Amino acid sequence: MIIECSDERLLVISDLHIGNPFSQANSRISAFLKYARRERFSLCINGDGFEILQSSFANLAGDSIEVLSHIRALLADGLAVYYVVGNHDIVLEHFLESWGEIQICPFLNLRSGGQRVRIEHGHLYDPFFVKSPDLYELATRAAGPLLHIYPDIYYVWSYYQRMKDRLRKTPEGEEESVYHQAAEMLLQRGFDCVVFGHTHKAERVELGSGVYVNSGNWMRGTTYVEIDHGQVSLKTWSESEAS
Amino acid sequence: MLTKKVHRAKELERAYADGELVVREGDMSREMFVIQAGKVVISKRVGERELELAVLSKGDFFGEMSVLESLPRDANARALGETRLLVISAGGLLVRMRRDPTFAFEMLHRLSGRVRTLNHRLVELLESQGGPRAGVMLYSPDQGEAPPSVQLTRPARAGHSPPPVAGPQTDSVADELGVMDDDSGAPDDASEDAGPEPTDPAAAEGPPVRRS
Repeated sequence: MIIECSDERLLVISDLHIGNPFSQANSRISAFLKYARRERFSLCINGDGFEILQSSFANLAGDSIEVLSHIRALLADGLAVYYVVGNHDIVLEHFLESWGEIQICPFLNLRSGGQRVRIEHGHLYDPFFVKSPDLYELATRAAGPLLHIYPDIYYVWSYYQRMKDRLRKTPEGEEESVYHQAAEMLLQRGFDCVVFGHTHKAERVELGSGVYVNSGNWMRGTTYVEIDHGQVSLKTWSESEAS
Repeated sequence: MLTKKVHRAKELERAYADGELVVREGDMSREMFVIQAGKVVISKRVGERELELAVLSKGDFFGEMSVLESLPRDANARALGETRLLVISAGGLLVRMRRDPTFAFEMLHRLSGRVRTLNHRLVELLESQGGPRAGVMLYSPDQGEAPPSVQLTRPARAGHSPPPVAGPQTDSVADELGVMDDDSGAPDDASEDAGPEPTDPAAAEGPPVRRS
């Protein structure tokens, strides 16, 4: 299992949740992967690329065919594809490994343009996941049918995630995010930048020891992180880039 | 050397000037280091010579063996250029592992790579001597069941007990082979690691050799 790699040009996407009926990733990702192939970018799916907790295997199998064909095309062109395991696809780890040339990793320490970038899904720093993993899984599974009945519950969850950070303040009165704290711990270990997913909240924050970027999500969004010779940028995908 | 306290993790940051010694071979300090900026040269005295074992850079760590085993430093570590290090004590390491769990994974990954490298070298060494003696096991998964003729460390020097590696240790691979008694006048500190001394510059091949 690799955790160290070097790649000068890499695109990072996360939280596609392919297989989840609520995810719109499947309709948008093909053009994005074609763009990656054309521009000679390697690809990193930073966790929760595929959904099994809130979906059935039949949904997953059906929805993933097209994505997998594009991934195979990237690999055939000699580009690397890394898959960082998240919390919605932990049980798929062995299944994903059987795909062959995709590099499955728990996290990735990337060297690019002399910079060290940590790419990690980020669920290990989610207080709910850490304190009550069983309850977390139960709640996630329970949310599956609710998403079918009332899709807007996703936005309620999304709003809750945003408010949680706003309400948590440092003694100095600044917004305090557990993910920023975790990123700072990692940055102190000689990383220049930390890239998480998991929260679905795309952001780029200058912390004391470096930069924290969250790649957002493709469930409803189209944000991604571009790493080009050590330059890390948070971008939003639009179809115009495909042409 | 400048020291700064890192607020949340109860860790220290220290800055070193070019050429400044971070740890000295034989020191009893109990800290490990993560390189935040700059480089560190790991070297070891062998007789009159100082052999360079590895050059570590940003993100690499060293000194973890002293934290884990409470044994004297096995090598020198010296700053190469202006260098800033994160200093982690044993208690601090536990706190970090809780807050930064992937650090533990990375440490295990490096240690695993090091064991693999040393195994490879040991096999090469054994083969260069005509192959291991029939029936000699180098490791035993059950420490209590290892053959009494096998150990991977040298006998302890006075007042310095080596950690057990595999089972009861009454004889050594060095004795089995008669090949490891020729290398030094240096302090006999090989007990801090398993396998032969990587005292050649090629020791930096593969996973970096960190022996402080």
